[in-house]
Amino acid sequence: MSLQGLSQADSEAEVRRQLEAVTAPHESSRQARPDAARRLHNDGERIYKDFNIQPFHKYLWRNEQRGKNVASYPSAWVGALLHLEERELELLEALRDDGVQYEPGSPRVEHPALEEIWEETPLRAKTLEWVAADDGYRTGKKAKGSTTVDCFTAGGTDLQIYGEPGSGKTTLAEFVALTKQQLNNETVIWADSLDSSLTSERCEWVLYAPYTTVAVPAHVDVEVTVHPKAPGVSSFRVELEEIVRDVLEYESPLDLVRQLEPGQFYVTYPDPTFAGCEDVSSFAYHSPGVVDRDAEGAPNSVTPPNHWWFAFWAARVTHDEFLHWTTLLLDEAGNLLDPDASKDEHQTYQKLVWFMEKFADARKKGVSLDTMTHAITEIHEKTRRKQRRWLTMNGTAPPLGKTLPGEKTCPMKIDYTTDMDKGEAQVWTTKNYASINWPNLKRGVRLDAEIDVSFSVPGVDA
Amino acid sequence: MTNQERELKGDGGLEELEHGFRWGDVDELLADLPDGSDLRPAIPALTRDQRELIARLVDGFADRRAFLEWAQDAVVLTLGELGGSWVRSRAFTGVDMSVLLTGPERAQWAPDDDPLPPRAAKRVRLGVASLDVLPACVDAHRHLRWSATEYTNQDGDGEGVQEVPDPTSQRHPAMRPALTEIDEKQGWALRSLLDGFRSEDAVLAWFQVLNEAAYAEVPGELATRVLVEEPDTLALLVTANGDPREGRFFRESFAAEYILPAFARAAREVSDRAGEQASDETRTDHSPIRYK
Repeated sequence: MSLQGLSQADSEAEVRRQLEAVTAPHESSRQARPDAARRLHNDGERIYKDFNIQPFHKYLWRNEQRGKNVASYPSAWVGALLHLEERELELLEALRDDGVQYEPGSPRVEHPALEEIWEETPLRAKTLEWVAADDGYRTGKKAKGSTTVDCFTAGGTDLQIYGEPGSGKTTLAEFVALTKQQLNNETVIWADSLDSSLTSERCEWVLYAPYTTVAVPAHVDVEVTVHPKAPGVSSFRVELEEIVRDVLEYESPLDLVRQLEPGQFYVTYPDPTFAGCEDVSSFAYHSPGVVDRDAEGAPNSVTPPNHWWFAFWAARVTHDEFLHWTTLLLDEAGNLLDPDASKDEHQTYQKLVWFMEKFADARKKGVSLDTMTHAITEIHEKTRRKQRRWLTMNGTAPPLGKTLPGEKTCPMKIDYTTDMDKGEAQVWTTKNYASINWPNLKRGVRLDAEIDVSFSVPGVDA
Repeated sequence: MTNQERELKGDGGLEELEHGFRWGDVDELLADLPDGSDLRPAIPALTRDQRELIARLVDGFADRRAFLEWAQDAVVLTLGELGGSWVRSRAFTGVDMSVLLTGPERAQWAPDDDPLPPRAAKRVRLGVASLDVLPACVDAHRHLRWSATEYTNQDGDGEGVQEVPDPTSQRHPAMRPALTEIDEKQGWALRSLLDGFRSEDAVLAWFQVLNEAAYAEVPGELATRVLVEEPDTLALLVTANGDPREGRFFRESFAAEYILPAFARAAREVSDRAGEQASDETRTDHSPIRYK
């Protein structure tokens, strides 16, 4: 990189140049061209290469060589990222019994039963090969009769990621997304949050832009503003289409579900008008148009836009319109799953209870919920009862010796995480744990600016 | 160390002194221990450290200072059960010092300047170890036994036992980092005292660190006595203007009288509340290799 590239962009033209480089779309994948006739690769097979990191199965194998618990206790981390159907579990058991071998040097798989999967999703096939290639001596202290495939249950999963700001949660979320796309060709939905002025400030997904479809409500106006970091350079507007690969407009939560593509990454904004929400979810959603403090019988306040996610959950989980592996990445999850939820005029508490009751169905329908909070207690207790997997970020202590909701405890006896560095964390279930790490995702391009996305409902004061 | 003859063990193990701890025999005995995993590794980790402590006692000490430095380790490793009054008595009793020390000083301590022959002295040290030190070790274990963490099998879905820390490579006494913390501070405080200070200001600063090292077990008025009320005491602590012969002896006595008892109380208090943490010296940590 020339020395020119080291100094901060200090004009609008330079920032625009950077923006173009950062957001240049990846056009040759199946997700970019869903209607292409011939077979194309999936985004998940490219994104990790773009960030110059190794495939996940290689990481597992290299750690297994050194006896690291991320590989020897796979139910902690591998179970969070790799999703399997019931019939795939059976296949893996058969492969294991057949003595299948994992060949680290070759990207191809040997066993004929994996060939078909390899044709469609080669990295998934290779990872399955690693999972099955266990002669009983990988997991635990050589506990005979317990192998990697035994650590999996079919269906979607849940993960609560918690830690202080600055511990690297955003990078981790991106890593989780690209790894799930790599392993499951998963459809990942990044639930970006809107504040009360319907703005999402300092969008954090910009490095992922070449692979991103932004999903926005159809009848709401969107404005994208670029704020260069250099002092003296004024902010400027761009079109949403300029900074992402695709823009999708949805009329209702169900309409969005119908438009979802397997293997695609979506940054999704909720609809503050709640169009179509009451069709899928029988709770109250008060849009700006119906609120009137003075009229009798009318609601007093606008329902927070985040409630739209309850309706989306209903659309995805209770209607069988899209059954492909789907992960909902919910940042600041405490805003939606509020510990102080009450039976207010928005039926917040009732929605939350219903949301959790659908958790088991969600797993069966291939839906995974990955939540992010600052502290482990920031989510409503009812939700926490159903939680099966946690991730304690570096710099945060795990709840050693404490009883979690649902009579659960963490299996660790020692605090590993408080002294960990950025880029490290510990994942755990009630039975097992593993220390993990992830790379600092860089693509060799840089943007010396922040981006805001803001919405306004036509005909209503903002 | 001392001016005695040494025999290095053939396989490079701990050195055996001619009239010292017979590591060879001990290792042979311990080699036969059953090989099961230790569910409470803090306990065997402490036993290991205590064994070395006893060995050093049986080997004897070059001079009184070496004994006091050993005593500081001992109060930590016995979790304060080997207390200040025991240390004080030994440090001030002639015949005790003449037996515990192996260097030329021992003659001065002995009654009629006639110390016991080395072999007999060793036998007495062995007696001291078993009469005084071993029971303190046992008492330490009694305090530790139920607060030491048990790393049990995970039953159920058969994913096997998570790693039990290896007791032979733990860094912290009884696997409690808080004990390492006070051990290091106490060791520093003791050495600084025995070396002498360059000025009164240094003495004042030292008292502050001493307070941390002894977890506030040193009585507050000691600093006042030293710095304000007893100029003769202060003169013997500060060596900038010369260190008279009795200075060294005085500082050692000061340590035995006031400092080591406070250290023992501190070790006791800290070990009661300290949290356990595995830290294998060989660092078989779980950190995965860098994700590149």
